[in-house]
Amino acid sequence: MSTAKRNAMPWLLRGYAGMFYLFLYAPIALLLALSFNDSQVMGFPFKGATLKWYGEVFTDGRLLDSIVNSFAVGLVAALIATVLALLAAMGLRHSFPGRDAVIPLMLVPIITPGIVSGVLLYVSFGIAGVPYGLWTAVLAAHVSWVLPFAFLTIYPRLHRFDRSLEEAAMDLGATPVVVFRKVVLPLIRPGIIATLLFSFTLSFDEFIRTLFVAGSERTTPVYLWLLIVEQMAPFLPAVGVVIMLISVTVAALGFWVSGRAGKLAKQFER
Amino acid sequence: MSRDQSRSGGVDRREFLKWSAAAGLGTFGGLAQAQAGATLDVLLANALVGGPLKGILEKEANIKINDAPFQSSTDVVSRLVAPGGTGRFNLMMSHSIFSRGPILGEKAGAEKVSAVDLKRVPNFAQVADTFKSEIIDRDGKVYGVPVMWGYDSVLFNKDQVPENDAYTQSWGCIFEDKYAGKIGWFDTAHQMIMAAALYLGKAKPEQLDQNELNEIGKFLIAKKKNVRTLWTSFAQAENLLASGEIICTFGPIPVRYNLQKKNFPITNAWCKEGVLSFVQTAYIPKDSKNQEAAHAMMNAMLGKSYASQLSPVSGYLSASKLGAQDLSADERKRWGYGITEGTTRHYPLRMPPNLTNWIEVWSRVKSA
Repeated sequence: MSTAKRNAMPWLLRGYAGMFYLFLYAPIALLLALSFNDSQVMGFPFKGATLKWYGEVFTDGRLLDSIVNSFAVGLVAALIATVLALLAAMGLRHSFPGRDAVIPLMLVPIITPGIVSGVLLYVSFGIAGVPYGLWTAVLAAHVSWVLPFAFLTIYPRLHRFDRSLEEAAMDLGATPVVVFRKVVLPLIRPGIIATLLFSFTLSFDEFIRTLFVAGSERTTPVYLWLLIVEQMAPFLPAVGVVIMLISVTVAALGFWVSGRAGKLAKQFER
Repeated sequence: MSRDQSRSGGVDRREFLKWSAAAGLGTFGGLAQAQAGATLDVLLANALVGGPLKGILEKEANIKINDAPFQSSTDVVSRLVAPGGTGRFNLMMSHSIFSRGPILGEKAGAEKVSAVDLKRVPNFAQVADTFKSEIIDRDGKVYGVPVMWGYDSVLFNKDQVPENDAYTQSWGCIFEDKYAGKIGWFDTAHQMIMAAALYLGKAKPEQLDQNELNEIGKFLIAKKKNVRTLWTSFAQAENLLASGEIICTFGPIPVRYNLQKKNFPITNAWCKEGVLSFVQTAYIPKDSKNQEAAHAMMNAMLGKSYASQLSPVSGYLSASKLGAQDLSADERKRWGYGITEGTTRHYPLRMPPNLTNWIEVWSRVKSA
């Protein structure tokens, strides 16, 4: 490679990285700017700064209800999915017939397109007689969507730490339940918290499956979709910013806890 | 045990699942609310229960309305005929043109909806004569009642398109060259081909044969150069008109109504070829758990309080004679009641039997 080419490479890489970040973050910056635009139209020109769209966000009863719904169902779905994922990961530490098929089967919801999952859930819930609603069909749909991700997050945590710690505890007379409570759980706790937060974020953002099975209930993404489709709502960018802040906060918390889990687990890895 | 017996007497599978969920998650209030006696889960255009309209219906019918997110009339019918779909909602509404077949089923007894007990809907007598042909019935029983109607026409910006321009009196406004580069089309095969066919003088657009469809396809491809954009949602159309990116477009009522409410200079044309009119029919799914309240809501929708407020609040029009009763001549004209009075030309948005071919032609137009 010639010297000129070698000198140009860092600049090309910087340019590429710059464009990458521009495409990634410019729409978010645009959303933020538009959320303060004192205009009835969603777009430019910028007609002055205002906070009134944020005021509308926090006085829209149906939006606030939908946020509460998303929070509640997200919390419960995350709890259920995390417990199920933990049980599955524990089970997969043992050998049994068909063990190798379990993981691929658990991951099927990830590779199934959302709209296909939505239709499948809609039809199967109809056949089974599962009523529409937040705590019936929506919760089941969210758990089925979130579970594989929860499993993928928690499974490596459980399999990385040193099992001789468990064996040592059992040598000292601890029962399996005590070993789980006193040894395994403390070690994987940060991983469990990270899984909970990750699962919550996924559930909070879920749209397409929810739309099929929500009935008269509205989660935040469904309500937002209605606003986007039905009418020009100039406060939409402000709604977007608020929702993004919620998701980012939870995700950031998840990353932080996950980082801690990584450090702690390394100390006990084989 | 019949289905009715199992519902009223014992605990069927659906009830069991519902109460299992309630027992497990009873601390969260949602389900408890859904169990309330006079609460109706309805699936209809959300604008029909927007603003004060919901309160009017709730007061008149003594009910509480839970309106599900509405996607389209097609979606409503799909949800009705899907497994378990006849017990999901208490009242549903969709375009009558394609609801009749799926609602009634192939033969008597195959109906997906309950026969309407007309004694519980005294306002049924108020259905305007224009819409009596839209009543969905079989063997003397009524299964679907026309409640609301509307129309699609040309919307334009009065500040940039003169109201006395000949093009504003025709579908030509969205096809011809005069406003090239400032035109919006609705990205949907049915309505756009209907409008083009009317503009090209086809007497019965829903009966177009393949040659005529191809002819319309060629026309639309030739005019596509004038189009700024194809929009897919009402909100998108509103934004395009409000920002001035387009100044005339194929237009549904809510777009015009919402923009006028925000003082944008948008109005609609009364196309001389006829605006595209449609009627929405209300029906009660046969496994609706609160038939009495559903009848009450249907009755209230045809009653004076609701019917007279429908246009001012949503822009749509009431199929009840009581809707226009107290409106001034100017209001009647502005909202579109001229269609029922015979002073405004319209053409019903009928469903073509070969819709697949229409979609294929429209895909050709889009990809050209």
